Amino acid sequence: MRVKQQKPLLQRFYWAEILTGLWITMKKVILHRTVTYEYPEKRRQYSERFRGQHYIKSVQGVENCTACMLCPTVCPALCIHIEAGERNNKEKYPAKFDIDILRCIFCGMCEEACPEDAIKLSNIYEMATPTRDIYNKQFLDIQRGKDKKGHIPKLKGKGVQPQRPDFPEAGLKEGAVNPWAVGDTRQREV
Amino acid sequence: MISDWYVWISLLKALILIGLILQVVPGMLFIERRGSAWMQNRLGPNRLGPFGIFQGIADAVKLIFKEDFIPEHVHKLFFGLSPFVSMLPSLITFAVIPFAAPILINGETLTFQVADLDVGILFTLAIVSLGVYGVMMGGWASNSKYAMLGALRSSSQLISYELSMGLAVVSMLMVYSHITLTPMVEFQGQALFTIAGITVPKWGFLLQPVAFIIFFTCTYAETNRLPFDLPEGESEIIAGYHLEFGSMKFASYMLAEYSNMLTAAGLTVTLFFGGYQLLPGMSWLLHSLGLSGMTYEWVRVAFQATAFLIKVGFFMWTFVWIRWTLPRFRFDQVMDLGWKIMLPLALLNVFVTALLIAGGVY
Ligand code: SF4
Ligand code: SF4
Repeated sequence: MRVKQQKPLLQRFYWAEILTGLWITMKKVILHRTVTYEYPEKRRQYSERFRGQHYIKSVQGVENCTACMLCPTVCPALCIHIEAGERNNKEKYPAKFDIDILRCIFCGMCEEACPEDAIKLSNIYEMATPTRDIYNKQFLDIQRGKDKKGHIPKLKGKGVQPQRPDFPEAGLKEGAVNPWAVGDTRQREV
Repeated sequence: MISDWYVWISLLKALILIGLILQVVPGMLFIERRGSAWMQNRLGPNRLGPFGIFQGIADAVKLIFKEDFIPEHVHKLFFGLSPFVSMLPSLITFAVIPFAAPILINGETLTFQVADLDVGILFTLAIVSLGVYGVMMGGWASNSKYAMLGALRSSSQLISYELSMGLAVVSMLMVYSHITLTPMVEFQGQALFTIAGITVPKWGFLLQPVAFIIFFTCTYAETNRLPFDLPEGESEIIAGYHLEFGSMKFASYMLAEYSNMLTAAGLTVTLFFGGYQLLPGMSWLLHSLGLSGMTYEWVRVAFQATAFLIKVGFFMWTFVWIRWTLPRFRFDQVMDLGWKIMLPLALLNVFVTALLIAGGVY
């Protein structure tokens, strides 16, 4: 069906509308302002609440997780795989903690469900890799809590990115385990 | 008899002109990409050279060194020929557009256009119509559906808008009562009226605003630029008639598009914006230099060429400006506009102009 629209006279005279449009685009050229970033030279500062790469919070080297299985249960993408183990003091802990990052949709439900404040999403957003990564426990442990040497880096100010070298391979000896390398699948039993 | 001098000078002028046109294309590519980016709050190409001005050259180099791939299913001869068929008319048309008023050297007149043809504007119209053959040939030789659709759209669009464009030019011919371009420009140098010491010249768009609007719109349809880029229509028919072309063949189509734009801008300026007539302020500057004799003449030529190029530059920018402002028409809208609005309006304009001339207004 063809609905006849009755537009105001000025709009029906196409040229007036064209001139308005031209003025709008010209204004953009005169007051040149960009909304884009020259990545990777400049990076966007996301908020602390950004849902990026996971990490497991730990206190004095002991992860908070008690392997309660709440996060794999709630995960809509079914991408968390935990195998529980027992420590000498009968404490339950995750012997294996894998996140299949390809399937993760970064919904943050795991973070919300966790009673121990163990699994967290950081604001690291550069996760592109040439491999199909599965984040294992070692990797998740180290993501935010510690740096290469095992120290806890100080985060300065608000909205500061977790410290992560831009080129992870730089400065690492051959054969050394690169703690920043995303999810080394070789460490995982198949 | 045509002297040797004339031949050599014409050859020189032709070379300079072709060089100029071909140089404009990378520049326009850069302006188009950068300008569109700025209109969309982006940065645009800014890596190569200061402000990225060498981007056009990089694009050209890339296109030249790309593999010249010819698909299996095309008509080889026409496929190879069509980009150049579409490029040639636009290069030829520019030959009659004057850059500056003629200059007298030792009794010989040196004109600042490659050929001052007696048929003038008719030559332009005739050659411009040939442009559609390149597009048609390309679309047909490609032997693919999208290219075919693009070629069909292009031919029907070009033919519809050529009529109105021709009629707009006819009304200008009636006003100027000249068919060659240099006297037309000279005519536009006369004063229309003078208010408080400011002389308003008889520029075409003041004498014939309706013809200007029609001509201006038709040039957009003729050059396949937005809002009339239906032959290309990337969202509907991918790239239309040049879909199957790559590397230098595609670049030739790009050259054709941009040199068409240049010709259209040149014609618009010559017909409606006083051609090489000086811009306001420039004539004052020229007189305040206090030159005389041959020096004055050459400086005048330089001034006129500058004025012409500034005007053409403005219209080239308008092509970019409008492209990134207006969305594409639907095809039935294009046809409606061409046949139901432009053509009657152009006819009416010719009629009214005739009446006005008979009444002695012009
Ligand atoms: S963010 Fe969502 S999808 Fe990803 S692991 Fe957590 S619950 Fe699963
Ligand atoms: S919800 Fe928290 S404590 Fe429970 S298994 Fe997941 S990470 Fe561990």
